[in-house]
Amino acid sequence: MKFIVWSLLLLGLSAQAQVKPDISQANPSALEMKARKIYERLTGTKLPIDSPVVAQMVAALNRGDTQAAAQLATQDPNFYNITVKLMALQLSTRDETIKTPLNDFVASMIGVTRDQTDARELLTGNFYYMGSGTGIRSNLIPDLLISNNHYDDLEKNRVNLAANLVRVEGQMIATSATATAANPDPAGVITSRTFMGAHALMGTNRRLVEYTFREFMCVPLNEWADTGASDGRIGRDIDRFPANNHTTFLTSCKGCHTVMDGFRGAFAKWDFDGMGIKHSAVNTRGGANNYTIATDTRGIVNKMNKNATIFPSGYPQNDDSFVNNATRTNNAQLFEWRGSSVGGNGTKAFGTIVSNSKRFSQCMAKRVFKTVCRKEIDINQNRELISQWGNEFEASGYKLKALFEKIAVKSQCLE
Amino acid sequence: MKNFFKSLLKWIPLSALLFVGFNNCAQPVTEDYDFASTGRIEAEEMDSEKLGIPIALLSAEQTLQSMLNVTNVATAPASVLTEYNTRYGALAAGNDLSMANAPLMLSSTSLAGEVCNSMITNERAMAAADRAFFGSVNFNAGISTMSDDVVKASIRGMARSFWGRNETQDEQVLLLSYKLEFTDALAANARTQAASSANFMTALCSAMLSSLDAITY
Repeated sequence: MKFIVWSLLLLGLSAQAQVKPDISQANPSALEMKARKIYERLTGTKLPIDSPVVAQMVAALNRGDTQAAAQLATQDPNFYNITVKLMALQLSTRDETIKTPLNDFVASMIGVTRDQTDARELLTGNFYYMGSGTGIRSNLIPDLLISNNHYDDLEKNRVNLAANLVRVEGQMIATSATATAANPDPAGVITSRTFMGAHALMGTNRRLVEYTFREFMCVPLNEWADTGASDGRIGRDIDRFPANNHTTFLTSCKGCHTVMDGFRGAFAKWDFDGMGIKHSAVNTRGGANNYTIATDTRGIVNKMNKNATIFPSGYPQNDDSFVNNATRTNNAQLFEWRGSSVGGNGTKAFGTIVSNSKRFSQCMAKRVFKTVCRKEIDINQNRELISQWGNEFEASGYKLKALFEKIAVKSQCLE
Repeated sequence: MKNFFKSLLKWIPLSALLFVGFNNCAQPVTEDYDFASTGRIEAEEMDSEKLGIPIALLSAEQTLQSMLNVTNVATAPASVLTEYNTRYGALAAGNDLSMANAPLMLSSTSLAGEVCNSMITNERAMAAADRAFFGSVNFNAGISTMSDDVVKASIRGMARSFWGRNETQDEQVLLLSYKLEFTDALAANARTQAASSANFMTALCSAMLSSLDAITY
């Protein structure tokens, strides 16, 4: 986004310590370079080699305490304002680009990292994060629930998110221009305005499943498609005889739809109309106008059952139940499900199954590795290593901040 | 604004020179990667992340924040933010080195110019002993009285802050030769005017702050 900053310019950026370079010094030592590298990777910004922080980090590295060195870097607000923000921006929209406006999804991810809460909350929690300050529009309905005004203002005014964001319990949905209702099925950032806006806008709500797996399981749909799984949940809008060829369906279409349509029911009561998120339990049922949601009499959004004549014997979505069809051998090994993972009802149950899998932890490790180490790591070719990092993440209590600090000092990252 | 554009004409060529000439500022892209023998990477592959090259370009927001960090400009003034907003589209949308194209370099230089202008304004207001980068510069005298040692001290300070290391001999020679060119380009009476010192330091700072080592990590 191109920022338009003509007012409140003096709010400025987070203050950095003034550094006076020591021009009498020789080139920095290898340890000083290592400390600076860790700092720059974690904060996403450059650091003068004569900064006192470098000396403190070198002292920690000399003690063999790499974690302490990393923790010095994560004290910098830029760790949240730059590094965590940029990682979250890429996950928040369909374009997966960092040139995306700050939004509620990103604010939540920064908040969960800063507050060191269990990262599984990102897919299951009933909360959001917001800021405050002069010039920040903060009216719940017009500025948070049906527009991105609030987060746009935080960004335009270059507010220090690390210090400013506050957790708010209880996600809300606008039911009219003046009324709100509690979100009946909150699931962290999945039910954020941004994620829903990206993936529940029009379509058939399949994209919500695809992108939840893409962003939080690090697996594109083609990699977990399974033509051998049950097709019992595949919708009526999917042609079983594309171009009059049933084989095409069996060998191609079916693979993605067995797993995707299995989970799709979790979103059967959700919609997004370009303004705000809608759930049939709280929004007035009717046409797809502002604040109303287009559903059938059971509260199932019409788009879940549209084009029902294409294959009338397909699965009609009658409620918000879903089944996990990604449990056959390959997918079971890929995701390593835990707990009750055969199915459920609604988005929170869906988010719970996803976030309790081992793959979620491994995916977060992979994402952090890419963010701070500036390299891709192939989970499939480094299963043991990623599995170990995922286990470390879980042992920390699913704390993203600790994950960043651990990954940034791994030999694989610094080499 | 008119002066800014005039100054820009001086900064951009120097920045380009630094970008091209100081490849030793950053790890060469192909170093340690034997593409031909492994056959893993296509010749046309340019994505540094896919290549596994642990050097990344600073994205737009990172560039601005980094420039402020290393120049001790704690709060971005209006002129810097205006320039950032203007140049935002050309600054990197990611961290891939292949995004380092000509518009990006020009935009980085323009942004660096504004940041350096703020930095020099701040430093000029300080007592010489308190300055971080220009302690030995007499901003009340023209460039004609500025010795090479004064320039060398400023280069060293900026190199350590912007690049995280001392400048190499080649870099120092190149930057000193720029001082000569800058001076020669001025009319005799302009060389004795105080503004010439500040203008030169702004140009020098801009070039160093927008060079590859300053916008990668």
